[in-house]
Amino acid sequence: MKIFLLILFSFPVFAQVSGTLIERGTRKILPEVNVFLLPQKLKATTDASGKFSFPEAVPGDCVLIVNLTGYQKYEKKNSCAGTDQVIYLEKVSYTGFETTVTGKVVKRDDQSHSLTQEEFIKTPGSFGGDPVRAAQNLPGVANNGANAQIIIQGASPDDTGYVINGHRVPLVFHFGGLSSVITPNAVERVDLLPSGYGPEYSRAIGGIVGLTTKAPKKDRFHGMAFVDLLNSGAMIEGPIDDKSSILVAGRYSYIGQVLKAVAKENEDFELTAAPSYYDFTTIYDRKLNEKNTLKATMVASKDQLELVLNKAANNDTDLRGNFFSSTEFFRVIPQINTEIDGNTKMENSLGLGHDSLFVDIGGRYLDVDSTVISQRSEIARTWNGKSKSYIGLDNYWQDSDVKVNLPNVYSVGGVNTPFSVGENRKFESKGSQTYLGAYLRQELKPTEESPWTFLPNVRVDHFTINKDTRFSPRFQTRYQVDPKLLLRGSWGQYVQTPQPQETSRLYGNKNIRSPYAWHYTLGFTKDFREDGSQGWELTNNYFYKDLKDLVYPDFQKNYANSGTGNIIGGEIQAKYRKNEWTSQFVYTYLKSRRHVPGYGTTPSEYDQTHNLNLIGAYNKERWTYSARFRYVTGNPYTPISGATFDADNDVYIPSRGRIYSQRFDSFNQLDIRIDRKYIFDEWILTAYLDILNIYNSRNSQNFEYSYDYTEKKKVRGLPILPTIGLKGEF
Amino acid sequence: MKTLFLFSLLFLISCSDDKFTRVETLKGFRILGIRATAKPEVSPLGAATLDLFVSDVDGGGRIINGTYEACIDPGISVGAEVNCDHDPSALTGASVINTTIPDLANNLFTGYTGSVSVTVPANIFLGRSDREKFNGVGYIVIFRFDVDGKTHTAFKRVVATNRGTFNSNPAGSTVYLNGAPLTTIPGKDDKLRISGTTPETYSYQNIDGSIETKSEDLEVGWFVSEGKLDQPKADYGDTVKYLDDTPTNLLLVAIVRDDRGGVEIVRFFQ
Repeated sequence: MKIFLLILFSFPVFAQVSGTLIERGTRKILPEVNVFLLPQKLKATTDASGKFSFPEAVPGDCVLIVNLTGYQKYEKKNSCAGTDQVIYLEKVSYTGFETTVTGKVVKRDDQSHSLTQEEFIKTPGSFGGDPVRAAQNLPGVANNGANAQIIIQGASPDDTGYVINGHRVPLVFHFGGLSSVITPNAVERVDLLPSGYGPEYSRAIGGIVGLTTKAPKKDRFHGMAFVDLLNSGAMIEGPIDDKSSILVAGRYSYIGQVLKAVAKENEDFELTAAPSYYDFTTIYDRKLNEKNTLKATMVASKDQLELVLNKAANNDTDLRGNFFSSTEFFRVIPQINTEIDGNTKMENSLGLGHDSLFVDIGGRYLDVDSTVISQRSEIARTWNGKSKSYIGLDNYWQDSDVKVNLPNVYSVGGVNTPFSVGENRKFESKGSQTYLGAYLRQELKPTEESPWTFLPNVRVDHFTINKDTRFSPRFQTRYQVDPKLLLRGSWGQYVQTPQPQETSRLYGNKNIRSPYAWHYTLGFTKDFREDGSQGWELTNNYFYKDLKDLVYPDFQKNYANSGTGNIIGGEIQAKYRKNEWTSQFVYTYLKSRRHVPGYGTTPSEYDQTHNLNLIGAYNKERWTYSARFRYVTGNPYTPISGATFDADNDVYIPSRGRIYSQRFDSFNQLDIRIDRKYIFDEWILTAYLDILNIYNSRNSQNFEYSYDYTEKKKVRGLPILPTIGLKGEF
Repeated sequence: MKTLFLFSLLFLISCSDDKFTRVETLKGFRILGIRATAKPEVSPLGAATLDLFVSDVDGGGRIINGTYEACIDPGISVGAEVNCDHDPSALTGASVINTTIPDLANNLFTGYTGSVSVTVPANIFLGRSDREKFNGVGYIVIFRFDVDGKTHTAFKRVVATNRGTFNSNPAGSTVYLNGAPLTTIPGKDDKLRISGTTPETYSYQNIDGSIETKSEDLEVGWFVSEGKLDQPKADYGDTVKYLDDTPTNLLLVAIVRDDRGGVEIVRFFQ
C-alpha cells in the first residue's frame, strides 16, 4: 500500500484540459487546427469533430491560444481547469450567408454565366440577395425596369425559357420583378445560358435562366429568418437521419399593404384586396444506397392582385371596373442520380405540377389551368481521357383547360389597339401539347494532352402543337491555351414553339412554323490571378443570332411566320478581387434588328446598344458596403403620329409612326447596400440597408398619353427605394 | 402566359395625369359621337344616315368644311389602320358642320350636324364567313375636319348583317341629379345618373359556332364644359360625381352607347 501511494504521488497531477473548437456565429466545426497551451508549451490539434485535448496539462495558471489565419486570435487565461469547454473562434470577416457553404460552379457550357449563392447573396441591388435579380447584372441581360421578365441579348421576352432543376416553369419572378419564386437560401446557383448553349435545352431562341436548388445540409439543423419592408421569410434545414436531410423555406410579401396605402391617395383605382405573393420550397435529399441519391424539390408560388379601376385605364372604355389577377404554379421535382460505375452516371428526374392563370377585367376573363408533366434523363459516360458522351431526353407534356372571353389586342411596335376596339373572342378549349426532345452531347479531345476539345452535339425536337420536328445541330469547341487562358466558340440551331394563341384553331394559324435561330459565338476567359484568388478575371464573348420564322400578327391569317431578325454584339466581364475589395465591370454592346413585313427593318424593342454595370464591394470586419451603377441606352419606342376617334367605342385609336424609330433617354441608376453583422456565439444577426436608385434618377421607359394622344408625358421608373431589414441565421 | 401577366401589372402604374386635358372636358372642337339612323345595322344595300354630334364650345358659331370616305372595314378590330387605302371602291364626299344653327348655337355650339348618307355595297359579304355575315361586317365612314390647325378624324361603322333583326339606337334616357331629373346645374359632390332605356337582347355567333343570346352592355361617356367628374366613362345606371363647385353655366352631355353601334345622346345646358 505504501509503495502504491509513493508511486501515485511521484507522478504529476494532470488537469485534463479539453474542448471543442467552433466558428463563432456559424457553429462550424474547425478540424485540424492547432491549439496551444502556455506556458506549458503544449500543442493539440482538433480532430474531425473539432475536439482537442491536453491530457498532460498540469493545473495552474495557463493560457489557451488559437491563432488561425482568417480568424481573430483566441487567448484565454486560467483555462487549465476546463474540460469539454467550447471555444468560439471569431472570423476576421464575415460575408453573405455565413451558414451557407457553396461549392465552385461546375459549368458544362463555357458560354454560360453562373452565380453561386455566395455570389448572388452579396450583390447590391438584388433586394437582399435575390438570385434572379442578381443575374440581371450578368453580361447580355437587358435592363427591364420593373418588368418580371428577363431579356437576354436583345431577344424578345417570350424567347427566354425558365427552368428549375432543368424543368420548365412559367416564371421565376414574382410580379414587379422584385423577387424570385424560390427563397434565395434554397438556391444553390442561378445559370444564364444566353447563346450557343449545349443541346440539353431547347424551346428558347433567346436563352435560358435556370435555378438549381441546393441539397439540404446534413451536419446539424440550420435556420434563417428575415424581415424587411417588402417581405419576410424563414428557412430551416438539417438531417432527418444519417441518410437523409430536409429543407423547408417560405416567404410572404406584404408589398400589397404598401401599395394599398399608396392607392388610398389615388382616385384612379381602389385596391379591394392587397396584392400579395408567397412561395414555399421544400427539398428532401436522401442517399438511397451506395449508388443512388434522391433529391426531391417542391416549389409553390402564388401572386394575386385585386382592384377596382374607377377610371378607365388609358381612357379605354373597357378597361375599368373590377380587376383580378392570380398566377400560381407548383412543381414537384424528384431527381435520382445514379453512379453506375466510376465512369458512368445517370440522372433521372420528373417535374410534376400545375400552372394556373386567371385574369378578370370587368367580367372579361382569361382562365388557364394546366397540368404539367416533364421528364428528363441523362446518361453521362467517360470513355477515356479523350472522350465523354451524354445522351439525354427532355420531354414535356401539358394538358390545358382554357376559357377565354377577351378581345383581340393587336400590338406592333409596342403600340396596342385599344382593348375596346378588338374583336371579342369567347371560347373554351381543352387539349394537350407534347414536346419531345432527345440530345447527344460529345466531348472529344484528339489526345489526352491536347488543348483542343470538340463538342459535336445534336438535338431533335418534336412539337405536337404545330406538328413540327426539328433537327438542331450544335457545335462547340474550346482551346485551352494554358491553364489560365481558354478560347471557345460555338455554332448551333435553336428552335422554340409558337405561342399557344398563334396556333389556335380558332384565332391562330394552324400552319405556323416554329421560330428558330442560328447562334454563333466566340470568346475567351483569361485568369490573371496569381494565387488563384486575388487579381483580375476577364471574360469576353462575341455573339451573332440570326432569327428566322418569327411570328407576327397578320390581318388575313391571324398570324404568320413573316418576321426575321438578327442580333450582333459583344460582352465583357472583368472581375477584380483584392483583399477586402471586390469589383466587377460588365459591359454589353449589341444591335438587335427585326424585319417586320409592312414596317421594314427596325430596331427591336430591347435594342439596348450600351449596357454597363459597375459593381463594387468593400468588406471590413462586420461591415460590407456595396454599390452597383447601371447605364443603359434608352429603349426604342414607336412614336404616335396621330389618332382616330372610334365613335362606336368612344376611344381613340393611335396611329403608329415609324416602328421603334425613337428612343427613350438613357437609363442610369446607382444602388447601394450596407450590411452590418452582429456575431453571437451560436447565431448571426445581420441588419441591412438596401437603397435602389439612390440619387433618384428620373429614368423613363414608357409614355403616358392623353385621351386623344395629343399630349404625352414620360412615365418615371422606380424612384429612390430604400429597404431595411433584419436577418438572423444559425 | 408571361405576357398576359405582365399586361395585368400595367394597371398598377397606369394612372392618369391631372395635367392632361381631361377626357370629359369640352374645350375647342371635338366630335363626341356619330349616330346612324334609322338603325346602325342594315342589310347589304341598306342605307343609313350618319349624324355627327360635335362640340365647338370656343368656336363662336362657324361653318367647318370637311370630307368623308366610306369603305368596307379593313379589319380595324384586328389591328388594321383606319383608312380606305385597301378598297378601290371607296366613296368620298363632303361633310359640312354648321354650329351656327340655333340648336347648336343655343347649346354652346354643341349638337347634331354634318349629316351624311351612305349605302352599304352589295358585295360587302364577298369572301366572308357565315359567322361574319351573322355578326356583321362593318362599312366604315371616316370623317376628316381641319379645325384651328389640327386635323380631327373620326369614324363609324354601319354594320351589315344577315341576322334579320337589326340593332336600334338606345332611346328614352333621362339624366338625374341627386335622384331627380336634371334641371339645375350640379355642384360639388352632386350625383349624376342616367337611366330610362332598356338594353336589347341579340344573337351572337361565337368563334366555335355556338349561338349566344347576349344583352347589350350600355356604357356612358359623360362630358362637361366646366368642372370635373369622378368617372367620365361609366356603366349605364352608375352614379357619377361632379367634383367642383357650381359653375355659372354648364353644358353637360351624356352619350349612351350599346357596344354594337347604337347611340343615344342627352344634352343639358344652363
